[in-house]
Formats: sequence, structure tokens, C-alpha cells
Amino acid sequence: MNFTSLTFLIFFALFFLIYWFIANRSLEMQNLFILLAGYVFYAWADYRLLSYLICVSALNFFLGIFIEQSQSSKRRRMFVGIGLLQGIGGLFIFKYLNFFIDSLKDAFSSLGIQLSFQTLNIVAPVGISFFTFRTISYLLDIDKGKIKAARDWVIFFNYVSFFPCVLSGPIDRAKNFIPQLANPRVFNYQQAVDGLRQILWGLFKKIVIADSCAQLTNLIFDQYQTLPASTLVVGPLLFTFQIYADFSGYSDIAIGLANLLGFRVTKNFAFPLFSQNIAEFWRRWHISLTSWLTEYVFTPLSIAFRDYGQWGLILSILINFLIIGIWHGPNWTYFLYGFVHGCFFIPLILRGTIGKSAKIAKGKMLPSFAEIMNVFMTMSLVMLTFILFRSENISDAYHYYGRLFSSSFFTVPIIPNGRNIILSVLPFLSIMLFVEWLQREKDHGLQIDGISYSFVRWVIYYSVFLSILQFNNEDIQFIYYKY
Amino acid sequence: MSRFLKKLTFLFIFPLLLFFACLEVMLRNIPNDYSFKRKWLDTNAKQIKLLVLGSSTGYYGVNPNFLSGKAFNAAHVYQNPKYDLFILEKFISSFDSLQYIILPVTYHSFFYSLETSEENWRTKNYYIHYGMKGNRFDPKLNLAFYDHSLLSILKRTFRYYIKGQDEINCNAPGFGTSYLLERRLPNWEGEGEIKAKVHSALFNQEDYSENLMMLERMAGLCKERRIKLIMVFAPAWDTYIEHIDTELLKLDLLKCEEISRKYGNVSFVNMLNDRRFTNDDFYDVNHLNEFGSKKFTLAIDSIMNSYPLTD
Repeated sequence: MNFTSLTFLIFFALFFLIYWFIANRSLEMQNLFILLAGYVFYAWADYRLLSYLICVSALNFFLGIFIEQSQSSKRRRMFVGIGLLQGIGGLFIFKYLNFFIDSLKDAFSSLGIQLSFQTLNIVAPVGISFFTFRTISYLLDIDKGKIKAARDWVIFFNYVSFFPCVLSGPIDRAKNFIPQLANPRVFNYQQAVDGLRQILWGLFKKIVIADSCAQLTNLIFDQYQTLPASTLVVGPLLFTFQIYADFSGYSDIAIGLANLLGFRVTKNFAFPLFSQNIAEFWRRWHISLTSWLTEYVFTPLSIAFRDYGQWGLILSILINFLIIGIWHGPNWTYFLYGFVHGCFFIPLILRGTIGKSAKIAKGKMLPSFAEIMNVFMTMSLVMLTFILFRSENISDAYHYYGRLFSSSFFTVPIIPNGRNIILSVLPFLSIMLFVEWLQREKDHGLQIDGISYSFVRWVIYYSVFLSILQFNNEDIQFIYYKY
Repeated sequence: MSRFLKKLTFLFIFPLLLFFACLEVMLRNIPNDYSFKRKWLDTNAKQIKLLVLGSSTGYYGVNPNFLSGKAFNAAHVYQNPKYDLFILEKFISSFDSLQYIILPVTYHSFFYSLETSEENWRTKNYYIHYGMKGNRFDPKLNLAFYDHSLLSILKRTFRYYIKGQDEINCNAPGFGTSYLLERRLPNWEGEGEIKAKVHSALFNQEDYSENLMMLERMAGLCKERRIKLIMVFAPAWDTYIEHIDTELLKLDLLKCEEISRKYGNVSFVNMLNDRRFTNDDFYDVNHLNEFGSKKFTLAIDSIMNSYPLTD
């Protein structure tokens, strides 16, 4: 059930009315209703592995209680270990085992040894990377004494499988989300209106920008061997807009849906296209994942390596980014993508500027020339690494880079069958960038409660909605759905 | 809550529902090939002696004006055997005088299902205009505006309601009239390789079996009603034929011949490589233009006359 489909619209409209008018008689009923709806939603995406989601929730629910109740640190460690083993082990088996087997076979084959291992025919549960991170942080937080274990199974199961976020995040932390589930919800008009606005903006980014850019990036990446470098440079440029609009669009819809149900979900994007350096980019891009890794991977590692000074910090960053890379999927391209981004941090660490952040054009309408150059350099680096991210394998990426840095860079770009798409999407892309620039201090692009004339606001809503209808040709799945 | 729902309903949902309801009604009332052919068959099915079915090859390839006897072309672009059978079954009780069904076949006729093809938006026409029964809750099948961009919908309504241009692209007996020689693209021959590869890539074993099953059901129904089914492998241009998958083509020919042998009322004629069709007869590499279609129809007419009806 794609967020952009009519099926989901009907599902959510019915859910919303029952949730606020019938199920609101008690908190327990409301929570149980969200859980049931969540399972219907999940089963729609992949009914075969709903049982896995339920088992994971049940196991982690009991582990949370056992960890809290354990008197000895040995027992606590054992229960935390079981949780980590289940979480990381589940991820490994479902997502990485075949990749591991293939890589091992390739490595031995290059030495002249043929291994007879067979890859397994397994399907990864949708959203496994997202809900696994939720359960791991839950257990670690209980272990550290940051939160209490949930005693109400419905609340905990909802935390793991809250349907707006179960498939592609944001990855909410238990300390933020569980208290919201435990407290009665009161309908908040402003929150609901803002939720609708954010959904509208998310749909605009997904349908108008991401899906249109996808048509061109697919063309370019599929035919890169026959295209000149001047065209190949358009591929990663458009893919940057596509993946941003796709994933931040999804996050906006998820956060907006949660707002309609009375929940505040972690922000996932903060206008990363206006970042002035790579560290700032990662503070603004997929925030819920990066902050999760900062808390549970980078910080413990940097403490462990603190005796090694800057090199310890560099090592921690590299490991952190390798995990970010490989989190996206079992492919060496993602591994290298993470590694390259980790390397981008080295100059910042050596110069001691990693933590520095200056808001772009603070208090001004336009950025300075230096700020424009910083954004240009940062986004150029990001764009170049997206070639790795988008390529099917390392060989494709290597050849793409090879063709990109060739003399045909100075020719006129040829975009096969793409002229019309470019002409139709370019004005909307400019609108998205312009709106996001204007709204860069806000939570999302359509947070327009500052406009006092309601007529103007409605004109904006209708304009955005009609442009969505113009581009809404078919359901195209969100990119991060596969992660 | 009530303020929120009232505002949402009266300022957004109602106006939009009204807008889309109007669009839906307006779109459904624009005459197109499907509504035209449905209406024609509703009133004239009893009188026709020959019926043309099939996809674009039939639609643009067989002009009933050149057939001897009252004939009608009920082919539509991308129409595969499932929909051919549907039309036949729908009107079978009215086809009192029907003696021949002409089914032009192409290399990729059986490779795909309309529902999963790139032209899947056409399926709704069978539900909306031909009254096909299906999932009532699937908007793709039941809503005329669904799956089309807003601008294209507005353009269509403007063209019909303001400029008076309908969407019927066929002549009175249902033959598609827009593939004219003068409209042919200058580099049409060069598309042969790409088109052949695209068509080969459409091959899907499940769809293939399903389509052949539908074809056999058609043959069976025709036999029951003493109707002669003539399958004609339509001509294509050399640059296309050179690049089609020979194994798949062999399979096509084998299956058509098999069905022809199995059912006594079915004849199969292969005109794929027919040298009577020259460069000037084609609109593109796998469709005939107005001159080619005349030649093709006359050839079919003579074939038909050489296959007299038998019990």
C-alpha cells in the first residue's frame, strides 16, 4: 500500500475517522486499533513476513523487561546480547547472508578455489533495517537506564510497527515515542493542519519531482555507456534531487500522518541541499539514522579510541560511515559510498572544523558568494558519490566515472527522449528549491501558518495539489522502501 | 476536530469530489473508438457477415470497406485474445449472420497481457464502454480520469466540449484512419531493430499460454456457431523481421498452425514476409498505411473466398 496510492488514501481516511471517533473511548482501544491497522498495512506490503515482525516485537518486549529486572550485570549483558544477536543476526541473515556467500565465493574463486556454497532463497521483511534499529536502541537504552521497559505489550508492539514509519522510518527512539503512546491523545487542530500540509508537500516532492526525475535518471544510468560526459553529469545531478525528493517526501508524509494521529515523530531532513560542508550535510540528511548511529556507534567508538587522538576519531567516523553505507543494502557500491563519505570527514577532523556549523544566509534573503561556493562544493561531492549509490555494481560505477571524466564533457548534452520531461520538471524543481530556500528555518516546505490571508494559503494548497494530479500517472514505489 | 473536518470537507474534499465527478462524467461522454464500436455493435451486430478482431494490426490493417459483405472492424490498439474473446462472447447471441472472423496476428500478439503492459490504461475502456465485469473497487478499471495527467484530461475535455473534436479515430466500419503515408516518420525504417527487440522483450510465458488458451476458446466458440476463423500473420517491414527472435517466431507459427489443425473451422495464413507489400505500403515497421491496408484487406478477401464455409 504505497502512500501515494488511492488505496492508502481510503485506508487512512477510514482509519482516521474510526481512530478519532470510535476508538478514542479509551487509550487501550486506540492503541490496539493503531496496532491492528499497522499489521494490516504491513501485511499489505508483505503478508508472509508479518509473523517475523510480531515475533521480533514479542522477543524484544520480554527482553526489555528481563534486562530491567536483572540484578546482575552478567544477566543483563546476556539479555542485551540476545537482543543484539536477534537484531543484527536477523539483518545479516535476511539482507547480507547471500551477499556474504557470493563475496566469499568470489574471493576464493580469484585464488583458484571453487566453493560449493549455495545462496539461500530468502525474502527480507520490508522495513527490517528500520524496525531492527528501533528494537536495538530500545534494549540499549534500558540497559543504560535511560528508559524504563514497556509493560504494556500493545504500546511496545506499536513502537516497533507504527505504520506511518514502519517501512522507511523515521527511526524514532523509544524515549520519544513510547511516552506518547502511553499518554491519552487529544486532537490538536494546529498539529493536524500542519500534518496535512506536510503530507501535501511530501506528495509534491515524491510525485512531481522524484518520479519525474526518475524517468530521466533511469534513462541516463541505463544507457551511460552510449552517452557523452556532458549528459552523464546530468544523471547524478538529477538523482540527487530524485533521492532527496523521494526520501524526504516519504518522511514528510510519514511525519504528517503521525501528526494527524496526534504523534510527534522525529524530523528526518532539514533542507540538506543547502549544506555548506559534508558534516553539515549529514546533520541534515536522514537525521534519524545518523543520530541513531552517532549515539550507539560513533560515540562509544570515539570513547574507546580516545587515546589515539584525531586518528581515533577518524577511525570512529570511518566505521560509522561504513555502517551507514552497508545499512542501505548488500552491495559493495553502498560500502564504498559510506567509505568515501567517511573520508570526506578527514580534512574536517584534521582542521578541527567538524563540529562547526554556520547557518546559511542567516537573517538574510540571499547567501553570500562564499556560502554559494561552499554549497556548490559540498553538493558536487555528494552528487559524485551518488553515482556509486545509484550504480548496480562497482564495475558500472567505475565505468560511469571513467566516461564522466572524459573529453566529451565539453559537448552538448544529449538526453534520449528526455527533452519533454526536462522541460516539464524543471519549473517544478525550481519551485521546490525556491520554496525550501524560503522555508529553510522551518520544519518543512509548506509550513505556511505565517501567511495570515487564508485565501492565499488555500490558493497554495490547491496549486500544489493540482500539480500533483498533473504528474500522478502511476504508483512508483519509494526508493527507501527496499531498505 | 469538527472545525478541522468541516474545513477539510467543505473547502477541499467536496470541491475536489465535485470537480472529479464532473470530469468523470465529461470524459465518459466524449465519444471514442470504444464507445463508438460498442454502440455500433449494439445496433448492427445482427447484420454483419464478417468481423475483424485483434490489435493495432487489425485496427489499422483491415478496412471493411474493401471486404465483400457487411463487415465491421472491432479491433483496438493493444487488444489481445482475452479482449477479442470478450467482445465475441458479449455479442455472440446477436451475431445472427456472422460467417467469418478475421484475426490479424503479429509476432508479439500473444506475448503480453494488456493489464500489465505499458498500455494498461486501455483496459478501463472495456469496463467503462463495453461493460466488462471486473473489480468494481479498482479505480484503474472504473474511473476514466484515473492514471491520466490533469493537463491531458483538461485538454481532452476542452477539445471536445469547446472545439467539438471527439476521439473517434476510425471510419464508419471501425477501421483506424490515422496511419497515413503522408504522416510517416522520415526514419521509420531505422526503428526496426529497436521495435523488434522491445516486442521480443514483452514475451512472458504465462501470458503466452493464457493468450493461446483464449485463442483456443475463441476457436471453439466459432466452431460451435459455425463461424470460420481466419488468422492472418500480418506483413512487417524487413528491418523489423531481421531482428525478431526466430525461435519465438517459430513458436508463434507452430502454435497458429496447431490451432488451425485442431479446429477444422480455423485457417492460418502467413503473410509476414509477403513480397507484395513494398516500402510505400507501410506506416511504420509493423503497421500498414492506407495503401498497404487496402492491399492487405483485398488479399484477405480473396483468401476468405477461397475458404468456403463448411459444416
